[in-house]
Amino acid sequence: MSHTLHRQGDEPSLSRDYTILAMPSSGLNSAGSLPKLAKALEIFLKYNPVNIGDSKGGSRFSLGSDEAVKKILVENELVHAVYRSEEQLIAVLKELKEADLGLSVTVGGLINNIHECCGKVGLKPHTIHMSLGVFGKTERLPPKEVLEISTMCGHHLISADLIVSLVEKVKSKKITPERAGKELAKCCICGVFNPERASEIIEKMAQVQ
Amino acid sequence: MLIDQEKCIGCKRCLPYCTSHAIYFKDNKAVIDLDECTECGVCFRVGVCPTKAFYQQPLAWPRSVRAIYSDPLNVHKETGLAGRGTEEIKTNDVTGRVKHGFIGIAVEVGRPGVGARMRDLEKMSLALAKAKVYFEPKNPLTNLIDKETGKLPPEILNEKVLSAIIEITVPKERLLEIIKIIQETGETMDTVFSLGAASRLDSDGKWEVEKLLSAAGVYYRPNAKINVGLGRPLIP
Repeated sequence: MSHTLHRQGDEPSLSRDYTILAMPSSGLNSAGSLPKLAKALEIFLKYNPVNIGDSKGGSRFSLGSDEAVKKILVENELVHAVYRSEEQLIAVLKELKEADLGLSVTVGGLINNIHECCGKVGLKPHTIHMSLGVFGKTERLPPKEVLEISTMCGHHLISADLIVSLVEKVKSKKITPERAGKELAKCCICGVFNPERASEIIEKMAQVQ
Repeated sequence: MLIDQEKCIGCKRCLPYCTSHAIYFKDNKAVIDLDECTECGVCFRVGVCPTKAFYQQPLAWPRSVRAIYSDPLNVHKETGLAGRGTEEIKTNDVTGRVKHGFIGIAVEVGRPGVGARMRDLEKMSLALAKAKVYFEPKNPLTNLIDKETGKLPPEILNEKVLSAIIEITVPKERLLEIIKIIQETGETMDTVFSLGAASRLDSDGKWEVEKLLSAAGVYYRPNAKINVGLGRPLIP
């Protein structure tokens, strides 16, 4: 649950980070869902996502290509994509609505912006899942900037140590921020990680340190 | 996960990839602390080792719990889904799982990035069972919880996972009371948890949960996830 929820950051940064997923409900409309999932992924790919993936196989970066993601699709799973703008999200939602696949579609991002996008496409949102934050022994958490990156992998497969070590490499000009973002994306199996947003945060971290 | 000591060349490239600080060095070789390892599989999958020294040992119960709640490529027999999660709101337009007048609550213990022993999860499940909440049956953790007492099987309590989600539903009138219980219980835990709350739109076109949180002055993030209603509903 909630792997695309709980992303952290300020609003300007979050306004360039939209996740979308399509899935059937197991046992209710999952039989025969494979071609629908393939169609949803095809629609996702038309609008230049910064990442794609499926929940049972891997992502553009963990598998190495979009073709590899397409090949491993199976019935009854989730397909994901990540976008950088409302324009892309509106276009994807419009085409998904027209395709009428019957799959459930969930979007992650700034609440007001998602409402605006849905309104432009003529969609009435159905259910919301809100994030109330982090509690408990919060002194065990890494710094805020590290969390802004690591929370983009909802399964938390990206370690804080790896982020810090890549920031150091960027700072010493051994790698570019873009390469660092893609290296992190390899750890995220399902493809909801936003490597471009990560590279922006890494670049800032490297400048500050 | 284990590292073949014959193959390890001690290059230390794998070290930062570990999600649990479980890789350490002994006699110039990388070794995995099995008590800390959550069996998430990142070190193996990402291919960072130049000599392919990582290998997955067979995982028997109760150690298998670690991989179930840490490696997203595990598919749960209860849900048919990969990962540690459930369909929750993602298919609510088809299932009607979160109904009008009710709030779905997800307590993801160990997230973000700290990890948790199952004994920490049990503290939360004990408190919620005592409060007589409804545990979502199609959640991969619920089948391990004694719904009357909140207890988990004793043999799994020391197992460490990246995170696991306790998923419950309560009438909206109980939302604030249950949040208070969750937050108080969190103070007794040796880890963190991420808290989420879900609802439908009410008759005014407002989110039921947002209205309740706003009225009570409870913080929520400006970003959320929203099911946009494209699924074919079985329950209107």
